[in-house]
Amino acid sequence: MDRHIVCLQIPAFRITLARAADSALRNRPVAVAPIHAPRALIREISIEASCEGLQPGMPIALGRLICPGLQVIPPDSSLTHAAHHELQRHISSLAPVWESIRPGSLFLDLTGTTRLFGPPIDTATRISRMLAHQQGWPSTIGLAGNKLVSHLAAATLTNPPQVLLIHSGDEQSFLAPLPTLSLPGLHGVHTSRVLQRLEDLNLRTLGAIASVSLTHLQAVLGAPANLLHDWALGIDSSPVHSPIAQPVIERSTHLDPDEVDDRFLLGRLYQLLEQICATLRQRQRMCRHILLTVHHSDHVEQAAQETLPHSTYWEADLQPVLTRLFYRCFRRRVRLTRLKLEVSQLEPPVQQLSLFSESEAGIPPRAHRLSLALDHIRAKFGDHALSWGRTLP
Amino acid sequence: MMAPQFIHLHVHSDYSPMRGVSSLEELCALVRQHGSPAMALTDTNGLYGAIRFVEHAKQQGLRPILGAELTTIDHRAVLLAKTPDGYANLCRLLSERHGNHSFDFLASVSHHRDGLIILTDDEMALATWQKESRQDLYVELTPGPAMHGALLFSRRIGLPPLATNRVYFSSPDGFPTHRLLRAIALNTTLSRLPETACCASRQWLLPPALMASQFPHVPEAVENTLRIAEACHSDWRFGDTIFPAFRRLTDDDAFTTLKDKTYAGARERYVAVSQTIRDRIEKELAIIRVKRFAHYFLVVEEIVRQAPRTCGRGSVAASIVSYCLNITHVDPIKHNLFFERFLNPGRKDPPDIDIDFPWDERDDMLNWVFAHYGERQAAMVANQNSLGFRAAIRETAKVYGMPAEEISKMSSHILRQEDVLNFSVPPTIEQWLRRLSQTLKLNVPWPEILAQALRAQNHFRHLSMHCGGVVIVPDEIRRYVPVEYTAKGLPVIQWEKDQAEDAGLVKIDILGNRSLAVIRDALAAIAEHTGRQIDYVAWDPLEDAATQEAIRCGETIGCFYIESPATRLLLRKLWIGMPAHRRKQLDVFEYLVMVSSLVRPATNAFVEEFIRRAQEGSCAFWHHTLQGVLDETHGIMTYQEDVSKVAMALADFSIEDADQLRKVISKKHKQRQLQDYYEQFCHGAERNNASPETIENIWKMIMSFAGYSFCKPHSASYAQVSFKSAYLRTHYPAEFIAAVISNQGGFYSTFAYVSEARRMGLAILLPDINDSEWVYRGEGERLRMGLMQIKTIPKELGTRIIQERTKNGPYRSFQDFLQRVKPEPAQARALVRAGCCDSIAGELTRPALMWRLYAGSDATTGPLPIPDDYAAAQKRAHEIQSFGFLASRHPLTLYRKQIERLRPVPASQMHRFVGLRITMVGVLITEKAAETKHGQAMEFITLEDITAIYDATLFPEAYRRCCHLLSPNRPYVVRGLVEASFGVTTLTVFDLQLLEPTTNDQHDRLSQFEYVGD
Repeated sequence: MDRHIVCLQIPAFRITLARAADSALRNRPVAVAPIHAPRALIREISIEASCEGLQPGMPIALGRLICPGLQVIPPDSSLTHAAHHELQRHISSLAPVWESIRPGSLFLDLTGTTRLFGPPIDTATRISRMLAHQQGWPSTIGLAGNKLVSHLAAATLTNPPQVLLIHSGDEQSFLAPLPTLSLPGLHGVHTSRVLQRLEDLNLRTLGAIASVSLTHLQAVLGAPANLLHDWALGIDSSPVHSPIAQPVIERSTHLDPDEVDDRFLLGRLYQLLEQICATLRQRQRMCRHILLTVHHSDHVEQAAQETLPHSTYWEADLQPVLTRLFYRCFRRRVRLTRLKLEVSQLEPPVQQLSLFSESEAGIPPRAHRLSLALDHIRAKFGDHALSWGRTLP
Repeated sequence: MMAPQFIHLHVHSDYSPMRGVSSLEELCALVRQHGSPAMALTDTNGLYGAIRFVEHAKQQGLRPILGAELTTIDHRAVLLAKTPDGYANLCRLLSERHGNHSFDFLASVSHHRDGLIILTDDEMALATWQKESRQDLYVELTPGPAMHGALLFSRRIGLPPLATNRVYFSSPDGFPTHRLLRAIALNTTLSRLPETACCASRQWLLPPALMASQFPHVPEAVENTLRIAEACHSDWRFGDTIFPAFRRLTDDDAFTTLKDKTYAGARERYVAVSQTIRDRIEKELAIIRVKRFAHYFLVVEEIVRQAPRTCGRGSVAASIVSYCLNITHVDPIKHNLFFERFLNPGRKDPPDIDIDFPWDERDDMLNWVFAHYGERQAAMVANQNSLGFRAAIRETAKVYGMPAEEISKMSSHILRQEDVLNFSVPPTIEQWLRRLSQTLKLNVPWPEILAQALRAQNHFRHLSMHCGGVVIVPDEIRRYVPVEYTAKGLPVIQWEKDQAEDAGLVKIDILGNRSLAVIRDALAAIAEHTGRQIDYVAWDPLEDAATQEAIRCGETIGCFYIESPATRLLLRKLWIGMPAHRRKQLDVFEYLVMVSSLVRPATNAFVEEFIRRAQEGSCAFWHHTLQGVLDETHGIMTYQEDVSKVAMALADFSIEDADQLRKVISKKHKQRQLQDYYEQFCHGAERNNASPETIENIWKMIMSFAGYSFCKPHSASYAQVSFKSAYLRTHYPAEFIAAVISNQGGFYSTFAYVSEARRMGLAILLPDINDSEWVYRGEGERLRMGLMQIKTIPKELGTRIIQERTKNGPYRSFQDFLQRVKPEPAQARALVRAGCCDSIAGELTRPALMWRLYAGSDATTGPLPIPDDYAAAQKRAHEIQSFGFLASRHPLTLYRKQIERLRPVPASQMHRFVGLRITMVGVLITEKAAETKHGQAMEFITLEDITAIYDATLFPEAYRRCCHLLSPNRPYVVRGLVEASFGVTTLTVFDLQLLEPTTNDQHDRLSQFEYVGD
């Protein structure tokens, strides 16, 4: 059966979201980069910035030099992730399987949906219109028989909203004029050697690669030659993987003004932990995984995580782990603006009953009793009724 | 006066690197205020501020006790110099602590204990040392939790106790600064600073009564401080000059040797030694003998003799003895240089001889000195690096966790505001901060950061090596000063040049000079290409007409010291408008000497007046007493010695005072002395009926010599090297410019020199595997780029390529090259991209060479493809990536269409448009930021088009609009007004824009930007 793979991309997703919130950013060069880090690299650019000669990966200082009118906005992962969830919610009713590429980009596998939703090209167009009208998110959509070709088809479109269909059999003629640079995955550190060699050998288009025999290509490129040759011919059999969702409990706090003092920061973290533990106890869930994310004032994020040897919902168990994570995570000498704590791998509490009727064994440890007592007091008198000294500013 | 109750014997000043808070001046003043008669300075592991301490203590009438706290990871002890021998032992111990990686604390102190008083609470150390001798050993008791244990130990072992407060700051409010310094030193934040890394908050300079009250149970611990202070040597006399000894000769033998060498040299220099020459030599020798400088001259002569090309700089060029010994090369009689500027009977400080060597021979010279005298006798002079205001802000802000860009922005805002807050009298820290916080609307925590940074600034941070100062002593250097080691392994003393000089250590500056290497390489190339041998020492090009004309026209790019835009402009202004009769009379060399002295900061106001007077042949003076004093320089103070001359003539200074005034002007730590001299100057000038206005004007001119300024002998010595460079540039341009670029120095970038070579009519040839040397080669009208210009090609590979070619003949093909040289694939790739292999490629294109390079010896593939060559734009991008600039053509030729549309005035025709607004194009070559009188930023820039180089000025308004666009080596369209001053044209810029490329080809544009980054 022919596959129908859609690649949906909302170009410069973070910028699109920012423009939806701030009309002053429309029709002018905009880039996403950490604002207070002088050597930061540009992560995303608008079409206007691209026309000025900017590229993602360029140092922000050079970007400002090339384009003095450049507006730089900081990355905001929580906002983009929330928007990406929203995007998935929109397409979930039309695609049985989808795979996230990055925030604002998805592969949808529409194979076998023709009888249900009509021809895939109509479904793709419907999705495009829906995103443009309901969310104000202009998208580019490529539709082809595999992920590679649909991805490149979407990437060639520069004026969203647009849809491009590559019919089966037309792949090679579509790919031939495309520059090798457009191949996904060639910009990574490990693959830059391949890209450099392709340039040195004057193999600057996919057509040029396709015209060289596989033997010659293997002689100069080694192992990557096989995949590259397949790609140049439009062959890609990789499936669309659907995401697996995990329940998570998350608490975060903004620090205004930003802060660098360990004692203060640990106090705030312990507060978050108390909230999470109380929630876990309330929901009768224990966690086995803890993730701490800190946001620095220069918009750099650092995360540290640990899987616990056994599941728990007690502060006494989690606090030493959290302290360890904090020191692992917060190594840069730059103030923090946000702390986020997540626990996952939730499971119901399992209590092994004692074989013997020992009265002592039935009494929970002191720290656990204290936590339960605090839960009761807070439930009755409010969250701020009682606090640990170490959590006070 | 009451009898003292207690004396502080453990005090750290801000010379304890990133620990001590208070300055020596503050500590000494406070101790004096407390009524103590003495104080010991015990900085951590060093005597970094010993000389200044003695100076300040004496000023306050205190007895200075020298010492140090010697620390390692496991042990610590305070060592006080009881006798001069003890001081020598202290220096040896500190040197060993810094120089010996396996330093054994207990054994070393035990070995060097003579003359030292030791106080510590280190039980193991005391137990060890007391077995040998209990004399001068004390148990240190400091208020705090550990004191009780130390007291019990003292009683148990029977060693006397001694009270200290281990002082790190003068008052309790110094504690936060101490913590900040420790956090800076340890790269951490205040909340992560370990307690053990800091002292306690009580360790301040407590008044004696308060200190005594802390020890009611051990009164003897307090009494012992008085006893020790009394016992310690405090009459330190560091001023006696310590000369190096030449081959262990006696003073008389050294003098006889010097005299013989001087006359032998005179016969070579002058052939016939006239009575004038003889008189001058005798006069100098007489002073040298009286001052016992013969050893010093002989040592320097021996060093200079190791290298054929040197240039003696500084006042030593005024000495005929130096000239005869080949230490200098300017004839002091011919050029009217006065020996008294170098040595005079009244001068108390030691003479200072500075010698330039070719930059690539300097390390060998230093190695020779250390091989000859050994590390026992010789060491380098240090620079004591301290936290400047900018660094203090930056480092403090880092401790407070501020992001890097915010730090950069704020520090530049603050520094810009620093001078324009309009305080009528110097503000206190609080006033300054309040005004700054209001002006800049500072948010939390910036006011706190700034307050802390102000307290942390000027703290000694670490030692580095002075650029070339060496001290050589007759016996053992570690007797006089502790020695540390640089990363390169050279010994360096703990004092910077001023303290070294005040301690009587004579410094010889062995400095690197790129232009001497340029001259050396150009002379070698000339000898190879033309067979003409030029002897550097005997060579005198001063009368060469073509060279003189080139200097008059400012055609001096690449020439030593006179290639900057400011100097070239000044030369042209001086000579273009010079009336013909004056032009014939004036000596180009003499005026070059003046010009090299006049190009320095704060002389703008005087320079134009100088040109006018030089062209008129006039000489005005501000006051009748100055008549005849500055005639040579048309009444303008030009040389350093003019300061002394004017002070003597106008304000009746003695020769010694006048010489001291000249010296203190440039020394920051002598500001108080300068104030005294200012008052003396005002009183003297008033006595001679000078008006207050005249006094202020002349003092302002005297102050223009602060920062950097030169004496006439120095300028003459340098002008001679300039002349030699100009001669080579004029007569052998290819060899000269090749040598300039090959030595990688000079005022301009390689790109600018290559452009200049192109304008000089030389053909630029790209590097070639069969024709290039490692360095650039100039011959006739061709300049062949060297393999050194290709980035990523190491010198070792370049040498291998050339050696193989010389040995076995040129490379016949690319395969032949790969087989014979066996380069790394990345290196071969760089050579192909740079076009070095084009001449051996045959029918193969560059990509075809790459196919063969990457396929290697894989024969299973059959014939490899021969793809089309790279596109022209791609080749240009490779060229820029390989060399850092576009070498095959001028970058402006890429903008032909734009330039045709703009119809700009070529730089060579600029002089025809004086008074008119014109459009020009150009690549930015150099920038020099400046400030107007009112503190507004402006900039002088130099641009070049295909025809010439030209200078332009961006005044504040234009600068504010366009400064963000300025970046070296980028092409611009500039619109402005052509203005002429003394016949020289410059462009006053109204508008400046980037010259946009001819196509929208992004690749071209990006490659242009890559090249900007280089």
